[in-house]
Amino acid sequence: MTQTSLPVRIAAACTYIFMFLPLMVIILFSFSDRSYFTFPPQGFSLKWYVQAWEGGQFFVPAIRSVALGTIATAIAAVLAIGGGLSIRRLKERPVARAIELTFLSPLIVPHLILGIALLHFFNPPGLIDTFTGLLLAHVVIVFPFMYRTVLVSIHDLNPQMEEASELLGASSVQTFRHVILPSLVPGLAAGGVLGFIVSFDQFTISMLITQREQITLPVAIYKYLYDVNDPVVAAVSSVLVAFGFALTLAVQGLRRANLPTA
Amino acid sequence: MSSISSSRPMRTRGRVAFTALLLGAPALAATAALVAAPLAQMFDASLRHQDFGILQPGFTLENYRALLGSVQYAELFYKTIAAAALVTMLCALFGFPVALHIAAAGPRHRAFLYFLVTAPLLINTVVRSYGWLLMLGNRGLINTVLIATSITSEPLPLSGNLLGMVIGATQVFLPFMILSLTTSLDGLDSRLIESAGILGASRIRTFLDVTLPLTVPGLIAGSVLVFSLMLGAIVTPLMLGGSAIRYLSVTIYTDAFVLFDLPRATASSAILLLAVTCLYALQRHFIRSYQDKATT
Repeated sequence: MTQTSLPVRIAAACTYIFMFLPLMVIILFSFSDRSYFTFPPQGFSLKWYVQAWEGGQFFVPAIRSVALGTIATAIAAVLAIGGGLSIRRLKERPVARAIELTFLSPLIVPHLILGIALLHFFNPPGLIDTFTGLLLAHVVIVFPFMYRTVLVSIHDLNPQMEEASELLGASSVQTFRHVILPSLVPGLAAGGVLGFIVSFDQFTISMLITQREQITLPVAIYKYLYDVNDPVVAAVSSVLVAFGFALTLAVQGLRRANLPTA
Repeated sequence: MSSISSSRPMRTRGRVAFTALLLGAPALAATAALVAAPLAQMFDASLRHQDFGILQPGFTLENYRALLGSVQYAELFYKTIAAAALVTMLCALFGFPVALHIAAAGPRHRAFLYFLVTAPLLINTVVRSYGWLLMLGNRGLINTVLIATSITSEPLPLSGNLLGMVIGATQVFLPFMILSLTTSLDGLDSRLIESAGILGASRIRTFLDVTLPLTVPGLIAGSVLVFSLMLGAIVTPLMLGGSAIRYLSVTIYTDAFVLFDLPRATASSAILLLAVTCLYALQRHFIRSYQDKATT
């Protein structure tokens, strides 16, 4: 494509600023030594970071969010491999489309609605505000993302390799372990990162199905914001902004590493 | 050998279907149990009367009739659709220059621009909305600057209303639009644009007559995505708009968790879900027919 014109570049630059300004303001505020927002910023201190660490309201939810993201993504991966292989075998049959739509349904339903539905669904069995309930909800949210990335790898599978493996006398378990699974690694890696991000950033449903005991990091931030609202929130948010940037770089690195083989 | 080749297709057909269902069963069970069943239960609640917080037996369409027949709700639906459409248009307006910029960039520069666009996606919506609270609040960045430069003497009401919600949501959903447009622009044949230039078309003419029509699928895909995400969004509307604004998702939230009017909350949820599902179906249909037209 040819070079873009100056007005386009100016408009693009303004949009980049629009996207990043609120994030920069959070970081600026987190280093201020006042408890209210001032501009230009006055003083410099790290006390909000110290307070966020020592206050302990965020530490356990952070650990919980990481654990939740990891376990939910792992379970979703197992479901996605099964689901993807199943769709591949069913190929063009009408059932395949219906099954696929069911698999992708968690993407379509707005989280507010799914959250309200799960809240009432989880209430009788006593799953509200439990790690199990949270995990079930996160598995189902992560699953479609995992499924779509794994499916790309599954479409790239070479059926002749499987036939060769079977002809050579390998059992279906051996074929899966030594032929299919290694080919799915790129899809699983990409889906794993994406799935973890989706779970880690999930707010609405986590907020609705927890109360106090099992809140996740985004919920803890939201609650603190409404209960206290001092720059401690800015400090925790800044850490999350940095984490988001690092994760983006990691994803880009991963994509570049995958590029030669793809 | 001959017996194997003749019996194999017969045997495998049935076996394929069986193992396929077996492999897909756990995923199917999980989505059915955790999406379909809760939604069915919710739909059931939308067809009931409620007395002192307890759902009564017997079905009724009264909840839907009350919603669809009331002037207040007609206004609410109208405001919701208008606000979501405004966010979508703003995303397209801001997103197009960025997508053009990315599509024209060299590979190294491009990786950096992709980073700029996708990084906000990986930062929690609560955090991004909080950033907008610091920007738009009465003592936020914009009002501080406006008062310091004596442009206004009183802080402007930039948050706690629909305006704040629209500004925040535009930033939150912008990356989806940009990525969608960039995908479309990447598929564009650059020779078409060069030819238009050689034939003497101005940049604006080229954009309007060549680039824009050819990026319609990306624009539509991005618009449907942003519009439906915005219809279902609750974090940004609640944080930047406040619980008093007239926005459907906020009203559902208030009905469910403040007023405990479950039948009304679930009935409005069903309407919202139907709208979002129809949008996705329409988009699938449109993209497919567009692809068919492109290939023939």
